[in-house]
Amino acid sequence: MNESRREPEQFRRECFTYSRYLIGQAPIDYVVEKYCEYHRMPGVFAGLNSDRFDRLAVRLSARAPLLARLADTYASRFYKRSAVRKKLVLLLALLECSPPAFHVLDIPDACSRPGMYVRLGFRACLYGVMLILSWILFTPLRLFLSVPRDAPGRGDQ
Amino acid sequence: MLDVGHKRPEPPNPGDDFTSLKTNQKDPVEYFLGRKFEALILPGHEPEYYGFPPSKEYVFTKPGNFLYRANGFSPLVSFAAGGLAEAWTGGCYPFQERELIGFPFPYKDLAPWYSEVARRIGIAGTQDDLAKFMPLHDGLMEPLDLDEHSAVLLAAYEKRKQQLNEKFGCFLGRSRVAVLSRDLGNRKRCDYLGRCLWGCPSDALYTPSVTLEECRRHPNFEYQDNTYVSHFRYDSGGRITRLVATSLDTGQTHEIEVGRVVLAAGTLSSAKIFLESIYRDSGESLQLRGLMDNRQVLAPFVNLKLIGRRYEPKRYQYHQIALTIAAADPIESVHGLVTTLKTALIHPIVPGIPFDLGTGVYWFRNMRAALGLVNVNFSDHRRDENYLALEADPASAQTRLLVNYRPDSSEAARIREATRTLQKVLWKLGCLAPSAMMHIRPMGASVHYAGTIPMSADSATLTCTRSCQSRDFENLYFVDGTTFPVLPAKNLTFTLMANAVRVAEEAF
Ligand SMILES: Cc1cc2nc3c(=O)[nH]c(=O)nc-3n(C[C@H](O)[C@H](O)[C@H](O)COP(=O)(O)OP(=O)(O)OC[C@H]3O[C@@H](n4cnc5c(N)ncnc54)[C@H](O)[C@@H]3O)c2cc1C
Ligand code: SF4
Repeated sequence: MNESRREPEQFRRECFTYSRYLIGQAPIDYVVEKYCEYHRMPGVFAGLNSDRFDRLAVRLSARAPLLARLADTYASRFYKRSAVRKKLVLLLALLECSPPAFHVLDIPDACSRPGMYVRLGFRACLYGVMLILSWILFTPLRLFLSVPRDAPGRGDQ
Repeated sequence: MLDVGHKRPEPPNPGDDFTSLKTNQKDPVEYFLGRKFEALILPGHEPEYYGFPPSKEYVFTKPGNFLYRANGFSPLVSFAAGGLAEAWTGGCYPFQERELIGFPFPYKDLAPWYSEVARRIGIAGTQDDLAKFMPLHDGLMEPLDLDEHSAVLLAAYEKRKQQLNEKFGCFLGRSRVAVLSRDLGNRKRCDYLGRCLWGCPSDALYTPSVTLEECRRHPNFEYQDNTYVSHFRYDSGGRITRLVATSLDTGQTHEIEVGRVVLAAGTLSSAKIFLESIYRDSGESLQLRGLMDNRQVLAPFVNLKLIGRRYEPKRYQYHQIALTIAAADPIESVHGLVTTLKTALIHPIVPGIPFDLGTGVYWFRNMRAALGLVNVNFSDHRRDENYLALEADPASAQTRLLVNYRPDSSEAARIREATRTLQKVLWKLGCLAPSAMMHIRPMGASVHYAGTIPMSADSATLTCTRSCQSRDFENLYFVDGTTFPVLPAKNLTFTLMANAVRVAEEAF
């Protein structure tokens, strides 16, 4: 399949995976359509996928919510302007404007204040663990992909 | 009246609150983010914590005729019917007596006009500890219903008031806002729809277009919109004879004969018209010195008592509390507005939480009702190095406004001291305000521009009289920030309005 035919399918996949990662729910058609509409705007897609690592991170992260979390965790520290993070923020913006998803973003967990502190602390620790894992996974990839493709190998020098 | 006058779009579903706007509109994303997603804030933008919605785009759209270049300043200008305050947050601070230092008239000449403006536009507020920094005037309506978070903060203040007052010089109270807590004329009282940022559908939140509409009903008031005024012509005696204006519909330039001219185009735009007129007549390129603006610092905080609580969408959205950190000289006091987070778009905020977005969303969801922001204002004084001038625009045959600003050398220390005190005060109120989240807004962001042709008792060129009458052109008056000789750390629009009414009564 050529790139332009494959893209809408890729965007849909990103939208579904990212939505499950962010709010634990699949998006409604309206959100998916808006997500694709944004990517169809002139110049946007090129602006989002800026380098090879970015493109790979997007493809990987669209496969499963866990991979989306890992890619986003890595980006949160080491690549804040990455395409993955921009796409996630885009989707967050769409979800917060659209029913029924915005309800999920509005309602806190039902638990006591001490319980809430424990949960928030637990999520912060989990983030620490994911950060280490994501660093192990993505740093070598990023280094590898930052070498220009047509750069001469050592033997050529 | 000549005005560019971009129009406000009709607000959709006037009866809907913020949440219903999302469920009842066919395309809520277009409403909240814009047809071309222009209100979407992706990582990499300046961390301003909020952006302007598409429904307010008309406020900031500039005609091609207005060109500028800025150094050390981020100018914001408006060509809307009603101007910048079509997007304001309604904070109404009267100046204190000491803050009129440099104004060539006593406080008693201005004070009655605060009451008059309050009666006309409707201001909600009350007498509390802030009354000594914001003098009381007539015409105040009872305050709006408090949101839960603001109530918790005020209760905490009441408990620790003595310590906060004595140790930190900090005072808290209700902010005064140009919002109706009861019906006024044909405007309805605030019914807590929580959509203030997107445009109040009932005009409970005052904007100047309300007054413009009122004026237009007067038989002897003529309003010509879509008209860009570039300059005026004057005779050898320094009397303005004609205004030169371009119709933005047809592109045609025409001249209008005038008796007296009142410039109220906002400090930057008024300066451009003034400078352009002199430049076109004599080729002279002047500098208008003394440009001022309030530096603002945004300090987000979390109220530890409210973590895990549900946020209230059906509330007045902007600030309901204000605070003052008093200095020995009132003009150096620091004033802040405390906005507790209620309705808002969250996608510009969540990426600022130092986690992945999944964890960020989780934290935000559970902490939303506990979040708030203090917008701290710092005073400014006229200094020669901050000026407006004209220069040639290389890309066109036109001139452009040059805006030059450099903060004074003590600014960093003043900000440090005030923000440290603020953090301690917030801690006493049960809140945590992390230094890493504080944001010093660029100069120009507060949009409180003033000081370029100041009122003064001495008759010098590039100044004006106590009636804001130009000393360079006898039939020219200014009723915007142009004429203010000082700028306390307070939002100035209420004083702009009171001063404009004073000038109208005194000179016309
Ligand atoms: C987001 C935001 C929040 C704010 N909140 C507050 C607040 O809470 N409290 C407060 O006190 N202040 C606040 N302000 C500041 C306040 O809006 C300004 O102080 C106020 O609007 C200045 O009024 P003005 O009439 O002097 O000028 P402007 O509001 O700039 O109005 C200028 C008018 O002149 C017209 N005009 C300009 N140039 C030309 C031209 N060449 N030809 C024809 N017409 C022209 C424009 O169309 C416009 O109608 C806020 C501003 C913003 C942007
Ligand atoms: S001022 Fe704000 S809360 Fe009040 S009615 Fe208007 S939009 Fe609603």
